[in-house]
Amino acid sequence: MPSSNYKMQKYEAICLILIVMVSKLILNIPYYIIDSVGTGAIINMIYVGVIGLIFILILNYLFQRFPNSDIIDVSEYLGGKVLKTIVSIIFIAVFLFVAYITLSDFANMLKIIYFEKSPLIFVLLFFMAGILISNLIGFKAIVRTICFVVPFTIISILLALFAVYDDFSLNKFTPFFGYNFQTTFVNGLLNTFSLYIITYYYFLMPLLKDSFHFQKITTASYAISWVLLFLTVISILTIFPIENETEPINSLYLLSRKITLGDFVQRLDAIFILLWLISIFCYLSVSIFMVNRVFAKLTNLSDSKMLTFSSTSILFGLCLLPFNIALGHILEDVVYKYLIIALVFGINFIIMILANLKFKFKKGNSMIHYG
Amino acid sequence: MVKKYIAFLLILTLLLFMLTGCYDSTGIENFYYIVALGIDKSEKDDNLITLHVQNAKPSSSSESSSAQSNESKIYSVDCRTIESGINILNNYLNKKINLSHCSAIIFSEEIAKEGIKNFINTLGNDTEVRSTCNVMISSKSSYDLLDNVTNSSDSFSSRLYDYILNSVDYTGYTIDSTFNNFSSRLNNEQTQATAIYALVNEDTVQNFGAAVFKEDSMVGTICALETIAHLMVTNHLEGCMIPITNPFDENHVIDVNLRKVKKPDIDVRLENNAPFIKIDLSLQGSINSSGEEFDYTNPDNIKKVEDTCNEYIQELIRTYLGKITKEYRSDIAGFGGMLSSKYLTIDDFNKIHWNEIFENSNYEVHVHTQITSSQLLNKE
Repeated sequence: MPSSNYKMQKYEAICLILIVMVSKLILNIPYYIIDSVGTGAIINMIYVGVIGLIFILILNYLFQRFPNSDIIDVSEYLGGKVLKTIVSIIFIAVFLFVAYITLSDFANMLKIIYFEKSPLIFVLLFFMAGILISNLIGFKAIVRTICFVVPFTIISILLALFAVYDDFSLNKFTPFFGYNFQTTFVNGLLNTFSLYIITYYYFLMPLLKDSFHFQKITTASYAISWVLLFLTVISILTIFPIENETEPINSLYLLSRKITLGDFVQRLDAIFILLWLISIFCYLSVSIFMVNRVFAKLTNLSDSKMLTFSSTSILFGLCLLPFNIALGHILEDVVYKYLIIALVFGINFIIMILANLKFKFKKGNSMIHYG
Repeated sequence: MVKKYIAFLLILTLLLFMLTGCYDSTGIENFYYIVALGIDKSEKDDNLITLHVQNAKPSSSSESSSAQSNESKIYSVDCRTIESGINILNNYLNKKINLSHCSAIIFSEEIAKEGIKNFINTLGNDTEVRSTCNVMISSKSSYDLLDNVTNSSDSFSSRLYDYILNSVDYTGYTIDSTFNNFSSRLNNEQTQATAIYALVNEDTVQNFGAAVFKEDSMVGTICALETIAHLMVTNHLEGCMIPITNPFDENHVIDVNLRKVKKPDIDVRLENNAPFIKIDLSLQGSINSSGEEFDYTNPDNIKKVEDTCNEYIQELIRTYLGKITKEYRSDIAGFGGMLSSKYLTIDDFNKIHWNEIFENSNYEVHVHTQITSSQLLNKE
């Protein structure tokens, strides 16, 4: 089997979703959640988590009629080539955009912490080389690496939770409903943006060895991802008072700096950064793989490997755009937030519902198989 | 195929070494590692600060261990900001000052009373500063403290400040004020910040209680015994020794070693728009010395000692609470946070204006001490 057509096992698919969530945790997403709802973050996370779970159960139901299909196939079924083209372009743009803000943010953080003197382009080039090599070797290599990295990264996030054990106090999470009910439940609904992993569910089915496991994979990966997000939010809420006027560039990094094992082992953040760096490598490789895959589907290319050069170049070019704190903040806290909500809970969901309705009302249909 | 991979890995390994350029390489010889940083108000100009850096000079003697040194050096400079001061010193020393081994950041009381949030935020923005670095307030200038530590008879090392500050674990006379906790509490409205207060005498330095902050300015101090009360209330007491009056002979004292049995039970509520704080403490103690003839095996004797101990600690905690509520109006124990758990939203809690009503607090303190041991003697 060619490496690019590799089909994932259950465990591998769950790890792939987890690496996407981990990449969001490493960046400042948990802090933005806390910033918007204050101490109501715990209730808000449960609330958002339940909404996400219901959404995923509905999504599983909607995908039942389209086994072995992803959102591109479904949109082709619904609206022909026109809709397929539109949806494909949107997804290519979104995958590249999210990869861009992830890479820009992480590379800037690395530069601040370790490579103060080196030009940003050097840091970026190392990422580019990694993404390029992994995608040229193939999807199988990316997935296997992810399976290896994910457990360690999860352990690092759990260790960060233990680091704040001494400071842990229920008073830090009170009042439980945050600023007020409106911010926690109405404005707080926007925190569904943290469930970016759902975007990947729309593409997961054809990548699975056995698509019948789709439901189990989505539910399990969602549950683990939510627990990780929840624990990270708790950890950050424990050490950063909500009235604090300062906003860290990366709250999880500051959290990791607190970790000490006795008097002898201090500043473990260096190990954490290494793990997170590999995680970001994996995530970016997956993103570029997705971009290639969608583009190949759009243009009916049989092999998407060689597209890696162009997609990586585009990502590199985007990252070379002038980046400043204000722009980064707007992109992460505003553009990213609304874009993900519109895409995951808006456009895609509507396409899935309409495709199901079309399937239902169009006579003589049997299950649609693509892939 | 396998050969290809091996060749690829070999190339990668070679590249690893070839790409490690040396044009911007830095080694430890390029850095000037400091063990303490002091910040004072400048004597020359009110708008300036004086920055002191102290380093441990490696001992030339081959007999001494590498981590120890008998010498240290202090450099001072007048500057507008910490960063500009460090830059001037970098230029003077021809080495880059590195804060990654800095174990104490010392502010003079004078500058702490004017507010130190800007300094803390500047240092918090520096990746080199450890979260475990201690924040101290010096009763005199920070230079005096650094100088006295340098001249102390103990061998000087980068760990010296750690050893000095570790006394919190067994004396309870001071607090643990790491940089991370201090900076996070400096901006926290529900719990105010505290830092180690060092009393600088002519040629000695003594950790003497804690400096109390309100918002970002120091408003006063609590003494060593009040610090024990603070540690008890905030559940941070590791162990302490208190001398109580001998219930059988007022001219003698009994030394009691105390430890916490469980987390203090604290209830904060509003009564007539004034906070009411109810504290229940459970402690376990052992009598170290009675100072005279004493029969520890008699239950009545033990009961009397326990009662005396309870009264003593209750009074101590009342004095502490009186000081932080009425005198300093600074909620360093985090009672506001405890009360906030009774409100559903932050907006509701803000309506009571905690910082304004805190000074009107009333309190009720109950202490239950259980004497469980008399160390090695049953009778004295």
